[in-house]
Amino acid sequence: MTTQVLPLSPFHGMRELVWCVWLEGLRRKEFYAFFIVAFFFLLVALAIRLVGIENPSTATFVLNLGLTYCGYAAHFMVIILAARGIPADIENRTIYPILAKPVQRSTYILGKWFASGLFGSVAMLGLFLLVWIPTPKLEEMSSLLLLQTLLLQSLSLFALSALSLLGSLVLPQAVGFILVTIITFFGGKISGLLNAQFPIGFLRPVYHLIPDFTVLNLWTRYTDGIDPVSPAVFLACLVYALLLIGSCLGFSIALFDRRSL
Amino acid sequence: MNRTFLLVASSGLLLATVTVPMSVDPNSYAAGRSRDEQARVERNSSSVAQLFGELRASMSDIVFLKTERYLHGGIAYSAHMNVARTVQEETSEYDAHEKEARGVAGDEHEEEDDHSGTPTLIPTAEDDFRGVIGHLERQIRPWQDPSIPHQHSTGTELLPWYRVMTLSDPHNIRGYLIGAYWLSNLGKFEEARQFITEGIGHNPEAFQLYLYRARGILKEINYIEHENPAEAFDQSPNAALHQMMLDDLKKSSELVLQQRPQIYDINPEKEDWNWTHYMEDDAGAALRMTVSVLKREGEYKEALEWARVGAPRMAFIDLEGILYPEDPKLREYISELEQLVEE
Repeated sequence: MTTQVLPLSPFHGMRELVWCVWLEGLRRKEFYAFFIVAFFFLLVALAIRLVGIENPSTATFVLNLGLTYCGYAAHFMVIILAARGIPADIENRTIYPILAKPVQRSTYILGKWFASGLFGSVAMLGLFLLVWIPTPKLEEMSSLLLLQTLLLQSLSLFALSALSLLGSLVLPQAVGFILVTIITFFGGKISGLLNAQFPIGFLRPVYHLIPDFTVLNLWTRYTDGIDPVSPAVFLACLVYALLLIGSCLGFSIALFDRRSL
Repeated sequence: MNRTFLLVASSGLLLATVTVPMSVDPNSYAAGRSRDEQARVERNSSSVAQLFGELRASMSDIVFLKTERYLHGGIAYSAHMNVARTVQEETSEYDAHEKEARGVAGDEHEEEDDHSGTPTLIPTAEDDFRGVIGHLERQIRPWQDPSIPHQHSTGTELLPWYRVMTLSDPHNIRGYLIGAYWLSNLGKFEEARQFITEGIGHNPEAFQLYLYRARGILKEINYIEHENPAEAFDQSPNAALHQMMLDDLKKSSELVLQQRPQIYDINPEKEDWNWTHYMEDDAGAALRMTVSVLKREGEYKEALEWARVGAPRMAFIDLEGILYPEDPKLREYISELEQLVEE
C-alpha cells in the first residue's frame, strides 16, 4: 500500500493566517488611537451640526479634513501591521510552527499581505463612516467619484501592504518602516521634485519608479466638486495598483523563498 | 514557481508601473474648491476653519498666506486674506503699483493707494480691546498703521514660496501663473518661461498656462524693444519669441474651445467647479488676445476666423438671466475685421 501525497494548494492555510493577522491588528493598542481621534472628529462634527455652520465652504473643508485623515490613518495602520508582521514572527519564533504546518512560504506572504490590506480597508471604511455620517454636506459632490475613491483607496491599502512586506524583507525593520512611510506620503512629491530639478528626458521613467500613492487618492478631487474620473483613467489607476501589488508580492515571495530563518 | 521567473516577472511589472503616473494623473484639474479664492475667503472667515487652521491639509493654503505676508513686509492685511481676486486682477494691481514706482523696486508709493485704509489683521489701538497685550503685539510683530499706504516688496522673497507651492502641488496652476509673473517682473524672462513651461509639463490641458506664457513673452518683447529700439521686430531672437507667443495663444484658444461649457452662467450660485469664473475670465482673454495679436500682425483673415469661431463659443447668461449668444468684444472684432478683409 502506498501513500499518495497530494499537491498542496497555494491557498491552504490562508484563512488561518488571515485570522491571525486580524487578531494581531485588533490587539494593537495604537490602532484604537486612530479611532479615538476619529471619534473626537465625530463629536466636533456633531457640535458643528448643532451650533450651525457658517457657510457651505467650511462644511466642505471639514469634510475634506476628515476624509484626508481617514485615508492617512488607514494607510498608517497598514504600514504598522504589514511592516512588523514578518520580523515579529521571526523574532518571536512564531513563524516556525506556522511553516511547520503544510503551509507554503508563498502562502505565508500572501496571507500576511491580504490580511493587512483587508484590515486597512475595513478600518478605512469604519473611519470613513465615522467622518462621513455626521459631517454636513452642503455642497454638491459626485457619488460616483466617492465610489471610485473608496475602491481606489482600498486597492491603495493592498498595494501598500505588499510594499511594506517587501520593505520588511529587504531592510531592517525600522529603516523599512520609515522608508515605506516616506514613499507612501511623499512618493509622488519626490518624483515630482526630481522631475522639476533634473528634467532629463531619459531619467523621467526612473523617477516614476518611486511608487506614487497620490494617483490612488481622490479625496480632494471629490470634495473639490470635480466630475468623476473617466473610465479610461479609472482603469489606468486600477492597473497601476494591481501592477504595484503584483511586483511587490512577486519580489517578496521570491526573496522569502530562499531566506534562512 | 520558478524563482528566477518570478524575479523577472516582478521586475517587468515594476517597470510597467512607470507608464501610468507618466501618462495619467486623476488629480490634474484646473479648478476645484480647495484652490478657489472665494471658497478660501469663506473658509478663512469661518471660526470652525480657524479652529482647524493648524491642521490644514492643503499646503498651498499655508503657502498662499506666506506669500501674502512676504509681499507686504510681514504685515497681514485683511484685504489680501479676505478678498477673492482673479490672477488677472491680482497681477494688474501689481502692474499698477509697478507703473507708479517704476525703477524704484520696493519703494513706498506715496500716491493714494487702493489698500490705504484697509484694516490689518492686528487691529489698531482704537479697535483693540486687549489693551497692553495688543500694544505689545503691535510692537513686536510686523505692523503698520492701516491708514498709511502700504508697501510692496520686490517679489524676490516670494519666489521660493511659489517654488514650494508648485512642488507641493504641481497642479496649482495659479502658483505657476503668479510665480512666472513675478519672475518676469524681475526681468528674469527666461526663468519665467521655464517655470511656466514646467507647469505646462504637469498640466498640459491648462489653457491659462499657455496664455500667461504668451503674456510673459509679450512683456519680454516689449522690454527688448524698449531697451534696444534699433532692433527690428522681425529679427532674431524677437522673431522666434514672437512665433512662440502666437503658437501659445493659438494653443490656449484651442483648449478654450474644447473645454469651455456651451453656455456659462455668471450667477455665482450656479458655479460649476469644473469651469470657474477665473477660467471664464482667462478664456475670454485668450480668445481676445489671439484675435488682437493676429489683427495687429495684419493677419486679418486668420484673426477673423478665430473671432467667428470664438464669439459664439463664449455665450453666457448674465446675472439677470439674459442669454448673450456671443461675446460682445469678439463681435466688435468681427465687424472690424470684416471691413479690413474687404478692403
